[in-house]
Amino acid sequence: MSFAAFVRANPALGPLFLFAGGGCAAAVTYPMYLLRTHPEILVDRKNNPEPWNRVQQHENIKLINVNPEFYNGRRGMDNRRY
Amino acid sequence: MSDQEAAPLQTAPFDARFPNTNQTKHCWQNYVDYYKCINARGEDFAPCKQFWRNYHSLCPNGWVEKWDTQREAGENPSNFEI
Repeated sequence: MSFAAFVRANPALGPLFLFAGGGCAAAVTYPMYLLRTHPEILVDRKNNPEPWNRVQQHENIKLINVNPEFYNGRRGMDNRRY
Repeated sequence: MSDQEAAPLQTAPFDARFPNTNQTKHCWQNYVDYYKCINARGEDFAPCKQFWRNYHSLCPNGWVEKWDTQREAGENPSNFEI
């Protein structure tokens, strides 16, 4: 029978498919998101050879920022490119 | 103490592009930026010296010597132009 019919026949399994499906979706989309946005991952050597150079001096690229005043104080700083 | 006025002690300042413990890319970026600066603005352009100080603080001396030998032989794969 179809997937929807199976879930309707066993509604207790609904949350299982929800959470497991959500986990699978996250496992696929999170690496793709990182490939697009993370400043240390090089995907396109010709058009974007140094992706870390787009990070501004007041930007935090780590997961958690315990001291936002430090980064906010760096707002006007110029980027030290060559 | 032998000298009354000690020279000001400095090191490479924090760079938001490289916030983690691994400073390898920071070292390499400063090395490349120094030689790009030299090639673009000439050897006596004073602001280039900051890159020189940064890579001498950050990079292991063995790496600097290896890259210098490669650069003099024309074998360093980094792009020092533009």
